[in-house]
Amino acid sequence: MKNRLAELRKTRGLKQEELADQLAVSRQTIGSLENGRYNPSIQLAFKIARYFSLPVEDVFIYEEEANDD
Amino acid sequence: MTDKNPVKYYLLEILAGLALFILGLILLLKFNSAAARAAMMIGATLTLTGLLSLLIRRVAFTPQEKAAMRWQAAIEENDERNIRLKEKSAYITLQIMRIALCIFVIIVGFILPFYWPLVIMAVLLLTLASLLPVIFAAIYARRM
Repeated sequence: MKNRLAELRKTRGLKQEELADQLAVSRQTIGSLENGRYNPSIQLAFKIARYFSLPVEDVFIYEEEANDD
Repeated sequence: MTDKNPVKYYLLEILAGLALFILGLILLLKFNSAAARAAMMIGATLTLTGLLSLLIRRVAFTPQEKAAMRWQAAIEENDERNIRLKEKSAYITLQIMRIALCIFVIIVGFILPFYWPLVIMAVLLLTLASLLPVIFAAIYARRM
């Protein structure tokens, strides 16, 4: 699953630490999400989308062939 | 779920260190062994590091800093990626432990069959390691 997290974060002028604080997750989680190494839970995906005031599908792009991790 | 009050752990560390130190001292007086000296040394180290950590925490941080540290610790504890990492590593550890136990049972059973209490204990451990995941999976399957 791809996402636009890095792009959205940068347009808001936020550091990874600041976004992590806002979402109550670790900075490493933000880093892993941005690198595409980690796919979030539905709760976190919605939390992120809500934080950026966007629909979840505008932040996360589902791809059929993506692995399940 | 979150219990990140390190003071408790420091106190526990100090107590464990003191207990080990006293035990080492008693053993040293009775047997004068290297193990007793090692126990005393480890005990003293634990006590000292525990005391220092406690002191640093009490003196070096303001209440705001302590609150921020607690908040950060809570985040680290409840972070879903960290939880997933723990689950994955626990699963892999379980697989490895099962294999290790199997090897242990084979070694003890075939090479040292006369140590039958050891064989029984190893088999029991292997059974436990195989049964517990099934039992917990059944319990969690009802909850999810």
